Amino acid sequence: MMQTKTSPEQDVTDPVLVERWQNGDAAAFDALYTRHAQTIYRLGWAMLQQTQAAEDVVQETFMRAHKARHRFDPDRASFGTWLYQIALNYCRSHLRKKRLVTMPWLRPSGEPPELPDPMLGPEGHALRGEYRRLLWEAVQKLSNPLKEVITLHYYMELPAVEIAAMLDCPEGTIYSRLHNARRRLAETLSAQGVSAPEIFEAQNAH
Amino acid sequence: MHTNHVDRQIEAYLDHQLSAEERRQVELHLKQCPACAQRLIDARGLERELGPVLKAALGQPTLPPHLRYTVRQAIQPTPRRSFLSWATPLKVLNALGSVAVVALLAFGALVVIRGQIPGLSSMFITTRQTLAPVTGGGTSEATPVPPTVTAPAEPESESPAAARHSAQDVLPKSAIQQPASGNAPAAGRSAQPAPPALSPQPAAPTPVALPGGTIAYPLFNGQMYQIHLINPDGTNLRTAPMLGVSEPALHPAKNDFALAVRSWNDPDGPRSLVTTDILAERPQSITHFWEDAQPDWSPKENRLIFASQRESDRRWRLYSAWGDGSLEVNLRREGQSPTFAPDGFRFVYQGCDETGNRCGLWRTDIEHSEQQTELILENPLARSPDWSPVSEEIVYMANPNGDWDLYLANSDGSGAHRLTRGLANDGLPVWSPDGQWIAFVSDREGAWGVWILHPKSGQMRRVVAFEQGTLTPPVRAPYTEHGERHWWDEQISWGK
Repeated sequence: MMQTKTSPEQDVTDPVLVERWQNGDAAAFDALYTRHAQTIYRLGWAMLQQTQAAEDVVQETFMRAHKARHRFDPDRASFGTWLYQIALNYCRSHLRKKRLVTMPWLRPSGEPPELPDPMLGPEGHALRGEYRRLLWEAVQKLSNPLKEVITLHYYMELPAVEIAAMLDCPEGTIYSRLHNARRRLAETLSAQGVSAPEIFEAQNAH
Repeated sequence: MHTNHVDRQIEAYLDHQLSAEERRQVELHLKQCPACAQRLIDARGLERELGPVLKAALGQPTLPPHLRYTVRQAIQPTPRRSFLSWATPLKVLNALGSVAVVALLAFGALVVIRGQIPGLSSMFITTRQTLAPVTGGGTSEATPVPPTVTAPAEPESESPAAARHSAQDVLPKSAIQQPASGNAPAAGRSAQPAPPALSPQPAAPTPVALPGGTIAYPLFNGQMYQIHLINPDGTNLRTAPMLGVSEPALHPAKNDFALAVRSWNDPDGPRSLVTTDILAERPQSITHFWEDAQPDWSPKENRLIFASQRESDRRWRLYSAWGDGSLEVNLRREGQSPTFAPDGFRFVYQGCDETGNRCGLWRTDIEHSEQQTELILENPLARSPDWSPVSEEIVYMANPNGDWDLYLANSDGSGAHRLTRGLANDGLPVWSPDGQWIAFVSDREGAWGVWILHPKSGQMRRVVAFEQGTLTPPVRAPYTEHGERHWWDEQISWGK
């Protein structure tokens, strides 16, 4: 009921909206906010893990974007990537200011961790649960840059090419960082004698 | 160096960065090299599991609706002439249509929600980890018949005071109310393997017989909510046939139409509070708004008390309705999670005064709720109260230290004390129909599930681990239309 009515902004692309926004159209800004604020909020949340801080990320990002809107160049990056960049910079400086050495990944959301998978039996679920628990522990031991890239890729579900645009580095760098992160994780896990349950393979075969 | 090369090949293989010929070669090699094949399995496991692990651990937060308003305010004082249009409300309303109105209303609602749980954000900064290592007798034997926890096992717990500082996570009532009972030192001297140092019976740790009845709890299975029913001994797990319903309330006494539920999104059925027999053969819609929630039965008559966000400001208000839908009463009081006293007349609820300054548990009755109400327990983080069906005791959940625990207090707020401790989250408590046991939801021992606790002896055990779903729905309408929804917004119930 809330937003089922099609607003005229819905079919318009980001670049068009940005242009209207640059020309002072308030509704265009609002439409851009509707499109991107949730993602920015998730990014802030993943990086800083505090409700208030995540809200600040959204507010700061859109404020900074607004101030710099005339400097946005659609040929260099998509609007979403540009926003991500601003948000990520803010998160990093926030962490620096708070002198946080690592991202404060301390308190997960307190939700039951997973949905049942009809392909897994009870034993499969137990195996997977144990594997996931150890994997989470291993993730927390990663260095900040690796954690960051893992978050962007696996939590935010951003493709390597977009992360590369965000961090302003070659795509290959992202691949190798992801590779490094996964290798570290694999090493941590195998040092504990953990290997991925074979049950995953049965599923992958489909 | 060689393994590094293989790793890179496997990575490239997984990332689809190889040519067809290179892929074929890698596949050929994998067939001959079991170690490499295992590496591929591990890499695939990581690739497949990292997303779900991060999402589960970090959660999927919803953007608070009021932020749109804040951001607008923040960019308002720009010197650019064209943006002064932000300050002209009519123009903005024209441009944005109903979105702006909704955002403003939602802002109002959020002030209420945040006002009621101001410490919410601090909850996310504790040192606990949801996927933390399982302690004690762990995962393996946990699911079907979990170990019954009684009094502390450490022989050094020479006094109840010492015991309170031990790693024990149940605080039996007797430990607080009779601090100097003679049995504790006796238990301390004997080095028995499991002396019931805090148990009221000094002789043998006779476990209290398990209670009867049926416990109902909701789970979101990925598509929709469903009510699960189970006996307190962990047997007879079954699913109620109605789909898309949660927040169950089982009548403490009667059997016919004994289940009240909140209906979310049943495409064929009513979207409101619904009462039904457990077999759901005759579901009956008794209210008219899908925001109607948190029903609780009167122990005396066929009457429900509930809370709703049905008004356009989305503030929680209290109502009462007859179980057949014949009459509804607006109790003219803002609040949440109402719970009837044994007399079916007085009730306790969670809320704040008009200014939002004093929050906690309040007590009033169905005739005088508009004129007077009394703050019995000032604690903005006290939630989900349940009034004992047989006594003047109230059990509730609160969060002073970053994790939820169960508390017990008298109905005037006196004698409040903590029932559970430890790093686990314990919440959504409900009394058994005989008022001897408390069922609650907890993530102790590494998995979410329903537990029961006998507060007089401290005996505690898991009834069931949630394997068919979660308490929290995904971030989407209708579940999060009026604000974030957490596991502690649900409720469970215990009926005869």
